[in-house]
Amino acid sequence: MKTKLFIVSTLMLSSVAIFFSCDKVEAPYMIVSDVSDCPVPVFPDITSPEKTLLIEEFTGHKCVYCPTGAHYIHQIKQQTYGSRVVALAIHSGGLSEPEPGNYDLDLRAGTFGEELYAYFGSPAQPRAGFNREKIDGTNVFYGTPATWQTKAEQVLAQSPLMTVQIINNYDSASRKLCTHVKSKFLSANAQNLKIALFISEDSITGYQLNNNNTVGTTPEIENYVFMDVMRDAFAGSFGEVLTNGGVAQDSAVIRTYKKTLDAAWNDKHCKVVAYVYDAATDVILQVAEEQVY
Amino acid sequence: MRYKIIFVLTFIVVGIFSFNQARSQGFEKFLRNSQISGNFQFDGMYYNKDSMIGAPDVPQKVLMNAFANINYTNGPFSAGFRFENYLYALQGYDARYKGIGIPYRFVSFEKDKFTITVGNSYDQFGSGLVYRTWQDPSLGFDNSLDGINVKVNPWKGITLKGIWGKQRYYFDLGPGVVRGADAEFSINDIFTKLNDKALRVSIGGSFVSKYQEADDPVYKLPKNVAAYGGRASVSYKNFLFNGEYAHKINDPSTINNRIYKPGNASLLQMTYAKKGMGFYLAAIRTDNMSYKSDRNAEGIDLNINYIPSLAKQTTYSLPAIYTYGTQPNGEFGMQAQGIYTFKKKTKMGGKYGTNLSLTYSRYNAIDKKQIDENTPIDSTGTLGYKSDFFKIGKNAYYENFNFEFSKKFSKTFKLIVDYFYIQYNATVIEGHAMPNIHSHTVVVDMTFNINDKHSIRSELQHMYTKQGDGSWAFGMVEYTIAPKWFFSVSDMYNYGNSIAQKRLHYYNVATAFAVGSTRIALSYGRQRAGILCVGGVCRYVPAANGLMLSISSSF
Repeated sequence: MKTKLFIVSTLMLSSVAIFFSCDKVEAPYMIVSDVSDCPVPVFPDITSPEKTLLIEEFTGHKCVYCPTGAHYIHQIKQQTYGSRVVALAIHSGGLSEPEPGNYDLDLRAGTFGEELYAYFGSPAQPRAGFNREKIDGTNVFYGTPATWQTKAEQVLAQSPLMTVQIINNYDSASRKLCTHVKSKFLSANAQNLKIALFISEDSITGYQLNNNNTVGTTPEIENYVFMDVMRDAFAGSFGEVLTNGGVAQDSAVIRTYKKTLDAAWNDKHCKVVAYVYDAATDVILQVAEEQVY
Repeated sequence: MRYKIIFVLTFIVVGIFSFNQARSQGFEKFLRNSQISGNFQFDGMYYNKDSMIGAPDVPQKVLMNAFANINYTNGPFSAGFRFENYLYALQGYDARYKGIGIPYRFVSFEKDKFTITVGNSYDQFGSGLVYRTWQDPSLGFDNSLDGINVKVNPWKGITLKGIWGKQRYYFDLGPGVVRGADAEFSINDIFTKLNDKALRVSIGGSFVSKYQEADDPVYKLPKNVAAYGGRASVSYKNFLFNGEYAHKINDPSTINNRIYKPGNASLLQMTYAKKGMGFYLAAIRTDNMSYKSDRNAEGIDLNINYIPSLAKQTTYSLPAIYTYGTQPNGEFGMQAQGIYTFKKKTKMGGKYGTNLSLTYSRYNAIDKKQIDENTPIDSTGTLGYKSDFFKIGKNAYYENFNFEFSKKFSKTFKLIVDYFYIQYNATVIEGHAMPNIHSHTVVVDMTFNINDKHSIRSELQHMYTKQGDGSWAFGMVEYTIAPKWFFSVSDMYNYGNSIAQKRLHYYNVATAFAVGSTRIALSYGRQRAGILCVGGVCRYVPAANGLMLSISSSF
C-alpha cells in the first residue's frame, strides 16, 4: 500500500509541477517602445498617386549568380520609374552565412530575413518577387534576372489602391529614429491588410562570388558594393495588422515607430522601407522608401 | 548519423535485455516466447505531364514512398523500428519527407504495473483535446513523441500516464519540449461494491506543458505554454455520455496570428444503442485551440493536440471531394446520427434485414467580437477577440445531410443507396476565396456475388452543383476473383464545369494480385487536384497522371 501511495503521490506531484509550467503574459504583449517622444508630423498630400513596386530579392554573398541579379535590379531602378521602385536585398540561407576569411561579412537581418526566406520556400538564389504577385499564375519569386524588367513593368502598370508615405525624424547624436507611416486608401477596402517595415542599408563593401564577367571580376569581386541590404525590422518579419476590412475610401491610418540604429550601420546610407500587404495572399499593395536622413 | 547511433543503441539495449531474459528463462523458452512481426508498404508512381488537368512535369519522373515496421516482442518486452524511404516523396506529400531514415524506434517493457517506453511513442489523453500523437501514412502525418512514456496502474481502475520528449518533424525533431501527465479513474472498478452497477462512471484529467525558447525582438512570448482538461464518462444501460473540456493559456503562434487569447475546447457526446437501433449526438466548440510544439509551425506540423471532426466521412469519391477540415482557430460543430435495422423476415426487412441511417452534421464559425473599438479582430499582439461561449457565429463552414439505405436482397445481390447534401465553405476550409458550394449527390453501390469466388461491385455516383467545378458523374466496376485477383475500371467526369476545356474525364484502370498477406496493385489514370482529409486533418493532393505501383505485405 505504501508503494502504491508513493507512486500515485509522485505522479500527482509531477502533474502539478507540469501544470504550473506555464508563463502567463500580461499586456502589453508586444515589446513596443514609447513613441510619445515622436510627435506625428503633417504629411503632404499626394496629388497624383502611382503604383509602387517592391522588388524583394533573396541573395547571398556566396551566390555566384547574385551579382547578375543585383545588376538587373540596378538597371530597373535606373529607368524612369523614379521612387516607384523599391528594392530589398534579403541575404538569407546557406549562401549568406559568414565564414572565416574573405566571406566573414554578415549581411543577414537577424532572424527576419531567414523567416521570410523559409516562409517563401527557401528558393534557389537569386530569386526576386515583384510585389509578391503571381505574375505567371504560379510563382511568387523568379530566377532568370534578364526577365525581371518585364515583370516589374507588368506590376507597375497596375492602378494604385492606396498610397504609403514615410516621414523619418532622426537624431544622429543618439541615433534615435522616429518613423511615421501614413497609409491612405484611394477606394474602399475589404481586405485584411498588414504593414511591415524594415531598415535597409546601401553601399556596404565586401567580397562577393561571381560567375558573370560582364558585371564584375570572376570568380569573385573583392570590393563589391551591396545595395538595399535588409538590416532590421520594426514589427517582425511579417509586420502587424493594419486593417481588418471595412475601410472607407479616403480614410487613412498613421502609425509611428521608434528604433535606435545599430552603431555598426552607416546611418547616412540607411533607409526605411514600408509596405502594406494582403494577409491572405501576401500580395503587396503599395510600398514606400525614405532615407533616414 | 544521429538516427544510426540511436538505432544501434536501441538494439544493444534489446540485445542486453534479450540476453538477460535468455539466461534467466532458458534459451529454448526465450526463443519460444520471441515474436517478430512487421509490415511493408511501397507506393511508387510514374508521372506524365498532363496540362489539361494541371499535372506538372515531374523532373524525377518516378517518385516513391516506402516504409517497413519491424517489431519484436518477448513476453513483457517489446522493441521496434520503422524504416522510411522517400526518394523522392510522391506528389502531394511534404517535400521535407526526403531521404532515408529510421525516424521511429522504441523499446518498451512492463514490470510491476508499469509500462515504460523509451524512444518514439503514440498515445492520447482522453479524446486528444490536449494531447494526441498518431500517424497516418496516407496523410503524411506523424507527430510521434520521441522521449519517454510511462504508464502505471497502481490500483484496479486507476491509470496514470506521463510523457516527456520532443515531437517528430519529418526526419528531425521539433524545437519544443512536450511534457504531460494524465490520470483516469474508473469509479466502478476502484470500488468493488460498484462493480456490478448498471451506472458506470469514469473521470479523468490531463496536464500538458510545452517549452520553446523565445527571443523574439517584437513579441513577449511565453516559453512555457500549458493546456489542461477534465473529462467524464457516464454510462447507464443503453446510454453513454462523454464530456470533455480543455483549456490552453496564452499561446501566440503563426496559426492564430500571434494573439494572446487563451484557448478552450469542449466536446459532448451522447450515444444510445440497442439491437437494431442506434442514436448518436455530439457537439464540439473550439476557440483558439491550435496547440503545437513550435509556435512558428504551420499546417499539420507538430500538433500536440487533436481536434476530432464530427463531419460525416465517406469513402465515395464524389461526396469526398468536399470533406471538412477542422478549424483550430475556432469552430462550432455538431452531428446527429440515427441508425435503424429492420428485422429479418419482416415486410421492410425481407429475408436478410434492411439498414437505414440518417446523419446530419454542421459546422459554423464561433462568435467573435472586437476587444475594443480600435482593435480589429485577430490583431497581432493583442487578445485577438472576445467570444460568447454559447453564441454561434454566422459564417457557415460546412453542412452535410446523409441518408443511407443498405439491403441484401439475396445471397448474390446487395444494394447501398446514399444521398448527400453538402454545403462547403471553400474560402475557410481550403483558403481561397470562392462562393460556398451546395452539392447534391446520389450514390448507388451494387454488389453481385456470382459464386463463392467471383463477384462484381459497381458504383454509380452523380453530384449536382452549380458552384465550384460544377457537376460530376462517376462510374466504377470492380471484378474480384477471390482471394487473389482484383480488377477495376472507373471514370470521374466533370461534365458540369462552367469552363468547356475543363470538362474532363479522370479515368483509372487498376488490378491487384494478392498472395497470402502480400498484395501488389497496379493502376493507371488521372487523379484530380483536391484535399485529402482523415479525421478532419487534411493535406492538398495535386493533380496527377501516371502509373502507380503499390506493394504491401505483413508478417
